[in-house]
Amino acid sequence: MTDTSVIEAPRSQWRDIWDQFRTHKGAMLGLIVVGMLLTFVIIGPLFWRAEPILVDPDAAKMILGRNKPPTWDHPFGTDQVARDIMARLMLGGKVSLAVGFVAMAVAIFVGTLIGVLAGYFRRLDGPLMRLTDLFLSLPLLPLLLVLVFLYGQAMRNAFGINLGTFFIIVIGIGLTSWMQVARIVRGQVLALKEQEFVLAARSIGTGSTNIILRHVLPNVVSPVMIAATLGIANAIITESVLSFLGQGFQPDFPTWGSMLNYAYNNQTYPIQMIWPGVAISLTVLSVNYIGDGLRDALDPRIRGR
Amino acid sequence: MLTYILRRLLVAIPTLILISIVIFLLVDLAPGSPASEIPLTVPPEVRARILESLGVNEPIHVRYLLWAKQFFWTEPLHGIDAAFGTDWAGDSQRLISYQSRVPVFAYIWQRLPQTLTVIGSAYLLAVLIALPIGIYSAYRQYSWFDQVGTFVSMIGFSVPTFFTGLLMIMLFTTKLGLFPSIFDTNLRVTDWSSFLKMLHQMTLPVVVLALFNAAEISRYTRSSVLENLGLDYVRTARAKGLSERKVILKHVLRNSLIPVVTVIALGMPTIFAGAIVTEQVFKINGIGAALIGAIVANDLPVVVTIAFITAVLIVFFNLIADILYGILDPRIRYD
Amino acid sequence: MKLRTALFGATASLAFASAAFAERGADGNVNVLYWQAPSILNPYLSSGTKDVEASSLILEGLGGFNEKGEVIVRLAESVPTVENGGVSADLTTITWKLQPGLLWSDGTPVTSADAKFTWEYCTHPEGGCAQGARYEGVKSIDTPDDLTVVITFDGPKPNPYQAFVGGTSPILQKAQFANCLGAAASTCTEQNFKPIGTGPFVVTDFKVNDVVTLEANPNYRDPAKPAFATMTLKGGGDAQAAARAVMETGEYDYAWNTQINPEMQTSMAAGGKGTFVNAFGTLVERVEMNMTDPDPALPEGERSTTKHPHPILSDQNVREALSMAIDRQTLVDIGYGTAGRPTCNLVPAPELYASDNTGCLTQDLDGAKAKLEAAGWVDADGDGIREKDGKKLKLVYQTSTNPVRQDFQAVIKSWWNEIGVEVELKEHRRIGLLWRRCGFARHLPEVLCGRGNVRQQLRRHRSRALSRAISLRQDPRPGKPVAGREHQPLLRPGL
Repeated sequence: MTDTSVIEAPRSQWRDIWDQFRTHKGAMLGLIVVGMLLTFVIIGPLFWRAEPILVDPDAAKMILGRNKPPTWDHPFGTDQVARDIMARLMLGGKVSLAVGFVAMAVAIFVGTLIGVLAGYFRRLDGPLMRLTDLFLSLPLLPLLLVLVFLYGQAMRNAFGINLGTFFIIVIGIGLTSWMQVARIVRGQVLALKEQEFVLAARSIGTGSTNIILRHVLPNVVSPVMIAATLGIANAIITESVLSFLGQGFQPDFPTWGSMLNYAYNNQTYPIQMIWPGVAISLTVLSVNYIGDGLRDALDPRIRGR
Repeated sequence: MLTYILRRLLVAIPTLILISIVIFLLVDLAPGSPASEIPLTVPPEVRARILESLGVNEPIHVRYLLWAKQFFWTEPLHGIDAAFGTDWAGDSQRLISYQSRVPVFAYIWQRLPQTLTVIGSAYLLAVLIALPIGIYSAYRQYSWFDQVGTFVSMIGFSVPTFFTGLLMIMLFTTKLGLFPSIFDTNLRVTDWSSFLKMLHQMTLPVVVLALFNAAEISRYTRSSVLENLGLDYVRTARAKGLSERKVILKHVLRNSLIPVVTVIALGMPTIFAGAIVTEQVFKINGIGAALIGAIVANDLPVVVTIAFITAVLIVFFNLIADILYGILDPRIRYD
Repeated sequence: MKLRTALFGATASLAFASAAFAERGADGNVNVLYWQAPSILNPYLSSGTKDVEASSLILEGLGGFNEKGEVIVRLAESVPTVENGGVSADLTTITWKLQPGLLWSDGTPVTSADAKFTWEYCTHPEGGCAQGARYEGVKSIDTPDDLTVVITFDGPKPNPYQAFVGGTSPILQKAQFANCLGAAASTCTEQNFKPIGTGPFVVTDFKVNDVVTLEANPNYRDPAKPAFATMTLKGGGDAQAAARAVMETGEYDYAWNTQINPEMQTSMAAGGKGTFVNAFGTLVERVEMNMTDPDPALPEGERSTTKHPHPILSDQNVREALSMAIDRQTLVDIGYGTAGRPTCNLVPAPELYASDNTGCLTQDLDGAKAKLEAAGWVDADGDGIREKDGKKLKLVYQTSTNPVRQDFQAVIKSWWNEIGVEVELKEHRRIGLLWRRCGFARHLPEVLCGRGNVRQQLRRHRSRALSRAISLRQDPRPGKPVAGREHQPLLRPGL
């Protein structure tokens, strides 16, 4: 038969995943919410130019403008020293989300590195997995608190107050949350290593670095992506816990966690506490839903059913 | 099995020693040497004397060994003395808190009851809520019960406990005045009325923590049961004509609870470390609060000890989880 | 220092004075809430206000201070003065007479040997006593008989009421602490937690950093006091929760240090369950200025000493301008409400010692600008920051972690920006350092912990609702470097 019936163009794998992802209502909603939040904190400040950190030097005006409920001038109200809460939420969100993404990136980097090395090189497997187990046995939140508390000052001296705090928090969270990723990646690599295409690559003389970069890594992307999503949620919560316990950024410089802590000290106006709390919860909820959706979409057993 | 346990225990020892070194170094090597805190007006020779007395000049391994001796040898001896009235320890130097000059272990002992009651009962409650919800959600997948349950557990999982805690305090304590705002650690349960009082002051923290833990456990339970429901042996059991009740309770449950049990066991150490945040929010002077206080007050012996005991518990419950796995799942062989 | 102690002594006794005619223990139990929990009950090993005040219920000195700053008697028969011969004419000795028949809470008699022992205890070189300053200049203590304590100073002492006067230098029982001298001081847990004293209460149970349970001292010298049979001193939480536990839920009878913002005070007071008591005492929220140069480039030992005056703040015009730019009333309104008052004095009370400066009370931004202008600090390059001789007017302003302080910092920063001063804010969160220092103190000479009243001062400045006022301290004694005093709000030049 020479029937030239239309053969569908081969669909890319990512297209399939996206189609599957789209059917997950929660995940789509989460994606939209996260998109809106990102727009709010990144694009928002370009249009909303209220001052988030400095206080109005005019004492009389400042006193009159304190603790205002939401109005058109201040859609989220003002705080204890008459700063616009919306501006602070934008800046704070930027910091919180940045902490989430960067800390996740650190964790993924360390985790993938260790996972690949352990899975690919037999000799490194034992020691590296011992190390992973060791880290899994450490009491993480206490150690993170100690780390940020004891080493924070050195970092602040080295990089300036806010950048130093940012680095220590990001590094701290990253270094205490890479273990799951490492385990997942190692398992995947162990399985991949035995597959024909890797053998084939090796038999034509491809070096280890190339095999890892070209053949192994692309195949561990999907589990890492799921872990990354959950890692962001985890990092955002951890940062807010640190700030809430007074070990994170200083109250002058807003993050959602430190805003919550600050507002807690001014309980006469509960609304000031609600905003950052809702922002954190909403972000984490959306990110978790995205993670759920990704898991479904990336699981070949479910996909296509 | 026995040899397996023994082997695991043997492996645990070097792990724990490594952990103790890591914790000790982390705290000890922190920048800002004690010297930088001495006022500059102090003449150099006095400064040198001070530094010497701080033990700063001792090499680090000597300092570590000293700490290890106190932790692993002196303190257990004192513990035995206290329990049996012996006098093995003599007047050997115990681990002393910098801040209050109390032996660190005595301090932890004072803090233990409130942490165990509050966090422990929250955990128990969480398990009791989570299991039925998880199982039923999986059994009736996509039903409204499942939808609501999944959503609620997603929320419980995502909303940080300090936020739910603060909301609860604002609503129930501040606005409605239903619960006390300060946890009374002197309250001893001796009769019915003191028991009720205890329940009363425990309610809010227990609810907040239980909600969070239940969310996590029920998610695990649900996915584990779901996985099992699709397996062949369930179809076989049904085909044999067993009642649904029997299929679920006897067959599915047994198999699907295996991973859940390990997850529950792995969560146990948090009971000791005290949900740091929850204790802070609800003003419970437990172990978590002691840890935060010690960190802020630079009370290093307390920080190191609490962190290390938590690590010991984590290792221990890891072992328990593995052993439970073996007992519950005969397919797993320990050779 | 002395005056502040006096006030605390007075507040403590106030609670009992109201029931002067009642029988001992007639009023049952009293619940007191200190949101900063006591961690030890031996004031010689801690300089924290919470610890000193808690132990003042149990331990007493020969004398104390009343709210006016005058010396009153506690264990002594009368206050020795030059007039009554108790203090020698050349001011080198002071002779205290104990009241006869005084008993410790365990029933044994109080003797002058206890006082002498206490001095030895605190001045032991390895003891790490936190109150060594109280015994500074004491050459020897003699006890000619059981009731007489003769303190000899190494020179004339204009204020001889230091040793054994006030809550920070009470008398310890020799019999109980005999084995706790020197390096052993910190290992005497039982003694440090349950000291035997002469005060109105005895410890029955002590949970570290949590609760102290006390009962009336059966051997207290006034048979009618204390009016409370038992007392629970609970610690932990924060100022707000403490205020709420008294003012809203009524779980506690008294709370200390309820520093919360004015709006909340008003709404809580409206509930009618309690009252806020504000005693305007000597605590002054202040900005300290570093008169020495803390430039890290300077060698250690010279940095922050009088050798190098501060490049900016040593100019008095700058200090005055910074002061003029501050609106103290606004700060009071934000942070304290009725619990604070603006003042221009470093020592605003008692009246005996206060002067009547009012010049700083009105903010004068234009005047401040003019002053800087006249002194040669001008903004030549138009970047909004003044400079003179190539030095930019940049300062680092640091304070301890505390919500009210943070607000102040933010507000003051904006005022100073307004007059052309760039300010970098810093927050000092390591309140714990002194603990660390004094924690090691069982090995330390007095030099570290003895002068380490910094923490105590800090606690007081930042935390008492009892007495609040704002002033700007312009001139810390030159020659006293502020390095190491990082806990006080202070200024350093920008680098």
